Amino acid sequence: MKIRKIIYLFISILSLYNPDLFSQEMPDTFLKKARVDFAVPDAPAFKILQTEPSSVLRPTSAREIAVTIANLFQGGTIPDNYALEISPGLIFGSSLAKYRENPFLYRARISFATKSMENSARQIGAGIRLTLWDETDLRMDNILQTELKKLGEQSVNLMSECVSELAEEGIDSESPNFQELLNERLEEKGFEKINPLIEERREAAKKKKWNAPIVEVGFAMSALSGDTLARNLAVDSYRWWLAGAFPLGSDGQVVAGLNGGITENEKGELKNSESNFGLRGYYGTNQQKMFLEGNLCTASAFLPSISFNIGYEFNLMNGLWADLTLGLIKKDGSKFVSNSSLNFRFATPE
Amino acid sequence: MPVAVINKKIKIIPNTERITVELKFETLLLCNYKIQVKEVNSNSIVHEWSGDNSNSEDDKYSLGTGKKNVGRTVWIFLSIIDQTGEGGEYKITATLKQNGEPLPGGELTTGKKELKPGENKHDYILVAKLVE
Repeated sequence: MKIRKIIYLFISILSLYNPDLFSQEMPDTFLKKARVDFAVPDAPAFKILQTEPSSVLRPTSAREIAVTIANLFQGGTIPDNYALEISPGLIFGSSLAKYRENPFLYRARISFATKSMENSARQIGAGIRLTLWDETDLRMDNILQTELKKLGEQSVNLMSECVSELAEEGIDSESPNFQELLNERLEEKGFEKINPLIEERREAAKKKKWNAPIVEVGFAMSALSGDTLARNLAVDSYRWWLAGAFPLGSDGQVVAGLNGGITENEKGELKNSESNFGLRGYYGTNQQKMFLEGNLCTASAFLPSISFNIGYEFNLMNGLWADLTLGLIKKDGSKFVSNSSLNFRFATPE
Repeated sequence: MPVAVINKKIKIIPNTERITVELKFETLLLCNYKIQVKEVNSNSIVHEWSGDNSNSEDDKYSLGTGKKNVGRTVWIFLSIIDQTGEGGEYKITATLKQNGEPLPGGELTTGKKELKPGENKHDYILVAKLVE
């Protein structure tokens, strides 16, 4: 009887076989089974045109930005396959003190792109991305900054100490081998040990803030011209994104995302709308992780679709993981359909 | 990365007009500094200041009159730290002025440099010998 049970269990496991079985997958990839994409794109203009430009122009000063914009539509024509990203904060100068006074401006990104279409038609996209709240920003972390300043002080103090010692030995900055002797002296005093401490402090801060609150928003629009002339442009779509993440205790996170858009219908009217709302809760330790998510999609041309997913991953023994995902989806007015899987895999032991 | 040393001789006028040193940080990286003014042909420190670029206070210091500073050496120790782990560009400039006017050739700079992700820190020593 016992043997029959074991055989039954073995056959059940084999029946769930999929190509991922025993793959060298890291446990974190488990979360990829979550279906909802919450991210606000880095460059909304590229996203709305569905383009991934190989080179993006990123002016780094107010003057460069002015020159770039002035050249952009020179002669009233639309440039071919062009991509531009501007950080408004740079207009006010690249300064850590100013960043800390007004991080909102420095985090903002304006994007612009053009795309060639058939028959020399051109499509342009323009977008903006704003980070409204970001507690994960390490530049705004006062505790980390105080710790790093102490390491910086240690660094400048060691340099001045070594310079003084060399001066006592009659070696000054004009001596031919001063730099070499200085670096040797610094090495003797453990100057290089400061480097890993910086990384250690930073990683500790990152770990502490992994699920800190962050709220981002993005907006983009695209316009189409039947030729290369800017004056013939007509708006053909809008898209927007809103995403937020908040802590759920020390080991969990809740992520919410809302995005949507309006595009032209067959008559060329801006009437095709769609929107998505997703919510995901995540909780995990080194031994087990789980997520629960829900997603609602609505569109003017289709019936709403709803989906739910739940996933649970646990460490069976060191290096051997099992994950179970259960999904339910309802679309086109049909009943809920399930989509579930159980996988086993080896991963690098922690 | 080894500490880079940038040396310069800067001519000053030995009069009663005030000599100042000003630091300008063009970066989002964290920078610590220490300035030491050393006596002529000596290791003794006449002035010492330290600070960083995380606040909006001026990083400007007075060395006293031109007459008093002939032969002295200004040492500026800089440490540039990557706070986010993403790296970034930086340019730090020290300008020596007399009576509020920049001295000819009175600028010492790291130049526009990049701290790559994983480098964590760059260090510099800017040395200005004040001569007549």
